[in-house]
Order: sequence, then structure tokens, then C-alpha cells
Amino acid sequence: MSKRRPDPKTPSRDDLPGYEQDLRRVSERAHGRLTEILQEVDTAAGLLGELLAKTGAERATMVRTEPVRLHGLALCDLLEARSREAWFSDPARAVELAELAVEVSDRLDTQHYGTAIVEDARALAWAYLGNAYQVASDLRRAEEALLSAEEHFRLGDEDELTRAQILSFQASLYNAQGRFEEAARLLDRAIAVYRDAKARHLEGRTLIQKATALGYAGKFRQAERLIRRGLSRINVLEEPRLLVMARHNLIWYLTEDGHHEEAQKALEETRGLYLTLREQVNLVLLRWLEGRIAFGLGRLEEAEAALREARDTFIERGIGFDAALVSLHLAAVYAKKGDAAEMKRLAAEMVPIFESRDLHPEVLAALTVFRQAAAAEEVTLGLVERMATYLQRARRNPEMRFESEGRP
Amino acid sequence: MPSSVAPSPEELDRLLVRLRPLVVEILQDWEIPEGEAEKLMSEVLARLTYRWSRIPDPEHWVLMALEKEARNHSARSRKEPGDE
Repeated sequence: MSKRRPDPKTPSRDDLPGYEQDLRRVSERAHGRLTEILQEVDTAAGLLGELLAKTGAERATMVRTEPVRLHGLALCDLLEARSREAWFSDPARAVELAELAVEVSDRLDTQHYGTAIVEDARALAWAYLGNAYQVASDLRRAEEALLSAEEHFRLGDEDELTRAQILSFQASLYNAQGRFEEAARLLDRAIAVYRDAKARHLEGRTLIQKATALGYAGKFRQAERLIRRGLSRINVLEEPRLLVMARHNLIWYLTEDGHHEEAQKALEETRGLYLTLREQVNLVLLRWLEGRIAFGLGRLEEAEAALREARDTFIERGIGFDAALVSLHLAAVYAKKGDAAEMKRLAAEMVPIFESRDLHPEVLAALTVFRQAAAAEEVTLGLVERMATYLQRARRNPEMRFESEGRP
Repeated sequence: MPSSVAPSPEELDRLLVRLRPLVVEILQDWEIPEGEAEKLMSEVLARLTYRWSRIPDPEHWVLMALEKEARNHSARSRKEPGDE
């Protein structure tokens, strides 16, 4: 420990207080507090069950009308954990659960918990709500919620781990807004916090998150390096889904960077993980990746089959953006084969994708350029690749325009 | 990283015993008066207990949190009227 004493004429340690009585009482109080917390955790589990069994309106009423029972910090934690679980499967539910966490945190008793703990809990609840909004594509509310999180954070004890969590959610929002460099800078701060706190897994997870931001920005080489660093730090047993996501992204960046042989080898090592998780979304991503690698290695028939399967699944599930992107990857296969007839058919099959609601006007305009070029048998591999690159970046940046030769 | 929601009484005792010399050193370095030390350390332990499942390295966290509390306490004490 470094010296902090303001007076240089420091007495020897023997002359200083030993704090025996203080520390004995601290221990007694801590044990008392521990018993209360364990009781609260038990109660919170029961309350969560009751809350989740009710409809949305009844839940809100229950939180409002039975404040004493719901003055539970542990209940906030449980609601946030449930919200996190629903991020990918049911974003609307993730929002609903996080809203409940905010409402419960708003009623926490500062006399009982102390202001620092209550404000920290409120900061986290708002941060979770912000991220849930972001996942549900409501970026305006996400921004507002994260601002509230920051305000409560400043009113509390400014716990570094809470700060890192808020930074991480803010970075996710920046990614969703296409502000990749800013996201990476925020994540650097979160990574430093986790490193200082010796939180190895969280540091690894955040390195992987930063790699994703750089990947969106097209910085594949840097993203690869960061993912490898992240993978060396994460606890696989704690988050198996994170491992699959990180490995998937790594292989994707290798492919985009032209390292197809290495990508193929890495995919073979990872295939078992996709199959173990047995999640539909990961299985379709696997087919997409297989198609991209096969294309890069010149195995065009194999690439076509895999990409068609991935595209059909995205269309079935109404995921327009990914369907459009896979279609362009499929178009690259036909361009390489010089198959104008299949290219025209593909362009016609893209009509349902145009009806998808998750495509913004600039992307629709770009896809129209593609359809027109296909009709005129003027699609080149270069055009398809430029469009695919545009689409990947435009996903997170609605303002971005596709600059074609025929468009001012 | 702790996975349980709160430490067991035994875990808490072991942590306090192991950290005692470093805790005393921090309190002495910041010239925290006896009596005040209890308040500071209790606050830190309450936060530790509530956040147990989120704190990867509790011992490290306690020392950092106590250092911050002691620094803030010292700053507050110096600002009190009559001390200037």
C-alpha cells in the first residue's frame, strides 16, 4: 500500500490505534446483516414467482400496492437476471422484466440499505432497462434509460464494477447506432476496470465485445486478435453461449479477411459446440458460415446449398436483414459461376425480403439497385461484394448510403 | 468468482481474519479515529455482502472499497469548519 498520510512526521505503527473493538463489532454486525440478506433472498425468490404468475398490469399494481414486501434488493437482482436471459429469445419480455426491476429499485428503503447501495441498485436497474430497450431496437428509450443509470450511479458509491457494467451497455447502444469507434473506447475503460478488479471472465467477455465493435467497423485483423485474447480469459463453463458466439465471430472475421483454410480448420474444431447448444439461431449461422467458407475455397455447389438453406430460414423467421445479406452472398456464388439465369431468379426471390420491416430505406434502395442489375444481366462479383460489405455496415448505421455507379 | 448470492458466515470470518492486517494498515494510514473505523468497515462489508455474487475477488474489492471510504472520510474531515 502506498503512503497516504498527509503528515510526514508519522509515528511508529506501535503508537497507532489497533481498532480491536471496532473490528470485533464490525464482525458482529456483518453476521447480523448476513442473516437478514439470506432471509431476503429466500423471500425474493417467492415474490418473483408470484410476480411472474401475474399479468403485466397486475404485476405493476402488485409492485405499487405492496411496497413493503417488494422492498427487496434481491428481487431486483433476480428480475435483472431474468431480463438478461430473455434478451435474445424475447426482447419484449426482457424490457418488461427490467421495467419491473426499475420500479422495485425505486421503492428500496434507503434507511434499511443505505443510500449508496440503493442508488447503485437503481443505476443497475436502469442500465438493464437501457440494454433491454437496445435489444428491442428502441434506441431512443435505451439512451434515456442509460442516462438515468449514470445519474443514479453518481448518487451512489460509484462502484467500479457497476461503472463497467453501464459502460458495457452504453457500448452496445453505440454499436447499435453505428458508433463503433466510440463503443470501442468505452469498452477499453470497462476492460481496465475489470482488469483492476481481477475479474478475468468479465475482462474476457468485454474484449470479445470490443472485437465485435471492431468487426462491425470492418477491422477484422484487430477483431481476430482481441477475440483470441478474450477467449483465453473467459470461463467456458460459466457462459458456454459466449464461447460459441466468440468462436463464430472469430471464424467469420478470418473468412472476411481471406483466411479460408484457417477458417475451415477453426470451424471443424467448433462445429461440436454449435450442435451441443442446439439453438436454431446458431445452427442457421453455422450454415451461413459454412457457405461463406466453401465459397472462399471455390466449392461453389456446396456454398450454394448452404447459403440457400440459411437464406430460407431467415426468410421463414422474418429476419429481413440477414436474409438480404445471405442473398447477396448467394449472388456472389452465381456471379462467380456466371449463372445469369439463377441470378435473375434470386433477385425475384428477394421480394419477400423487401417486405420485411427491419430494412431501412437506404438498404431497400441498395437492394433495388441489385434487382435492376440482375434484370439487365449486369451483376458482377465486384458489385455483389461491395453491396454485401455495405449491407454489413449499414445494419448498424441507418444513415449510411450505398454508392453505386448509377446513383448520384 | 463467487457464485452464491451471499457469503457463508465462515467465508466472511475467514475473509476478515485474512484481511485484518491490511485493513488496519489502511485505517492507520488515513488516520481514521477508533469508533469511526467501525462505521467505515461496516459500510464496506454491507456492500460486499449485498453484491457478493457480482464481485469476482472479494478480498481485493474490500481493500479497494475501504481505501476509497477512508480517503473520502479524510477529505470530509479536513473540510470541516475549524480544521482549516
